[in-house]
Amino acid sequence: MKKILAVLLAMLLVVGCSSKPAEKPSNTDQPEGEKTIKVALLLPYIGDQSYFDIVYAGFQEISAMPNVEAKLIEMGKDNSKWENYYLEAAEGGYDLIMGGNWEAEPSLYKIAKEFPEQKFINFDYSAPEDLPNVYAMTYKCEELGFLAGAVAGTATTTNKIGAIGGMDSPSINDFFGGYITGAQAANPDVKVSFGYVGNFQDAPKAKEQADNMYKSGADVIFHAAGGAGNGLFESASGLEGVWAIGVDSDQSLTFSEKPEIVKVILSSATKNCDKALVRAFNMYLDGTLPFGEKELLGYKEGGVGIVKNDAYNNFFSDEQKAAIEQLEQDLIDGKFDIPQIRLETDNTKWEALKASVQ
Amino acid sequence: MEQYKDLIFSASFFFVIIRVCVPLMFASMSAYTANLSGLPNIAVEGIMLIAAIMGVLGSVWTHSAWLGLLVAIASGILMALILAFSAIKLKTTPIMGGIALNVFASSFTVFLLFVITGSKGTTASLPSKVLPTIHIPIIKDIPILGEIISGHNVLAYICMITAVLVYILVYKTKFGLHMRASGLDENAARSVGINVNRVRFTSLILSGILAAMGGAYLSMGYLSFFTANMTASRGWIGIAAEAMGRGNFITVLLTTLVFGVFDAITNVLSLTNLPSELLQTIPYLAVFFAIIAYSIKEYNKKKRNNA
Repeated sequence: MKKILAVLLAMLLVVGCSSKPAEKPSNTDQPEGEKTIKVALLLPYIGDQSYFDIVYAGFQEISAMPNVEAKLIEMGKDNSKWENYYLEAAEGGYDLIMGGNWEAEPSLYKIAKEFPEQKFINFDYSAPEDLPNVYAMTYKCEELGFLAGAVAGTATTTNKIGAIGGMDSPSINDFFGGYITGAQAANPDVKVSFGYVGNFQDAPKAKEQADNMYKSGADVIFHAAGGAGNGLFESASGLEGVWAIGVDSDQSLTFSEKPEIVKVILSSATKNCDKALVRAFNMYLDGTLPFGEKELLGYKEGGVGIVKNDAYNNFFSDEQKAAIEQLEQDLIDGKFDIPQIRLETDNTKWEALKASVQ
Repeated sequence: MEQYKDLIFSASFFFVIIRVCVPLMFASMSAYTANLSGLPNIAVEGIMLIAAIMGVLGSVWTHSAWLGLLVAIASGILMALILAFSAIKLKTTPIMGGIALNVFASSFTVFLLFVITGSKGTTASLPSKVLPTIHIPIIKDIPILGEIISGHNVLAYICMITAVLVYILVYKTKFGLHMRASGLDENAARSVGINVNRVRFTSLILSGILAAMGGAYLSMGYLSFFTANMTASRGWIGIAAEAMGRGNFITVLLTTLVFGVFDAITNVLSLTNLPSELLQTIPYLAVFFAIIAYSIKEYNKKKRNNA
């Protein structure tokens, strides 16, 4: 018994230690004489079917470009080792190192300080430092919310829509500030109710809250509640004539085996890390990437978007589609004053905004 | 506020209360059966979580919701046996064993999720099965009552039946007497020839089955998929309700019910403009006040008896 256990444990260790072999440089047949650009992307792991995979999708696009030698470095979940990975990458002779996000950016900035000649891109900053060799970008969540609101406001037939958040916090209400603005732009009479789960995991509770919202007359609900938001889709799939809007990525893709859920996901408002990464790389190639600066990417820059899949195309009439496109154009033209709740120091602006749609 | 009144004062609200209470009831019954025999099971949360994912995976592998439920129950028994074995045979503190299982469960389920689906969020991409909902003949046609009692997931009815069975087991059978004796004083129980270890093993298996059914209900009835950490402290609420009941099964169930009712009310109130942080404390405060009222009543009763 003990022996078997020991063998099993040893096998577990072997499986645990062997990681995927490093990706081969994708481009080996570049014409001679042209300079090859070496880029690296550092991520904790890929395969989360959301955030990191989206970033990696952009990176794959980059690696398919001519004269690019691209390498993905998976750092693992142990964040105490991340700094070493950045150090190795900085010593590895890359022209450009991509990495970052709120969790890994301290390591990136530390190494960037030690290697002032090395160029870095932080693909999603939260607390950036001003370094001349780092370009940092992040995404306008309020515009993401706006797009969801524009779709919800156009789709509703009861003039009542809803939103479910994980926490009643400025970073979540940032999405909802945009949501209200977008919904009002599409439908001036719209009423919006809000629910907060209290965490980002309790999907059954999100289902109950969504049930209550639908029963009190709302017919479209958007969520910014992480995993708990899945409860919203479950709730919508059990009722007639109601719709849900997903967040961050095209959420209908994760429910591929549940057609009854896919059909109620009207759309998803997305954070396009992939497009943003490609955009930044193209600017780098043109020599126009402003190192030392940070940028907020909105709809105009392709940093956020809205998914128009089958459910969307079947549901909306041509006029409605045109109306939503007009709102998108107006958003690009900067016609809306969308509040940035995350930058507010107190709640008054958010409370007033909420009261205007009760 | 007005517009939400109909959500609370309606038959469907009582339907919702039952739906919300089922996983909590399973959790508190699980904590109760274990603790009664003198071996506290604080791994209820972890067992529920493991069972929730194993039920889904089982239903995918076997193409049957019922076999999925069996897989869930088997995983729950296994978890409970690990706890019982380490506590009884290896003399681990059951609290430490329970903590270990809880930590293990919350990470291991995400690991399993990732290995099998490639996602760390949900099993939504798997063709999993859901346990059937039951529309009870005759009763379903009775106005109001039918609306409340009929149309639940089959595990909700199993939960009600189990509650009766646990009551009978604990208060009307010899084994129940042995459970209570082992919990009250292990040495006294041994002195009259009760095999305390066997009683505790059996109680833990029962506790594992109950927690597993609570977990399976979440992922195969309440929702049709597993999401990471979806139990969201329901197991802990069960343990708290068990502690409030102090060995009295009916009090345990009533405490759970109070929590469930106020949880359902909170879900409605969350649509109003009341601050959400305050609302989220309501179920806990309700239980707190209920237990104070209960204690005062008990205290007065004792005083009267002594006088």
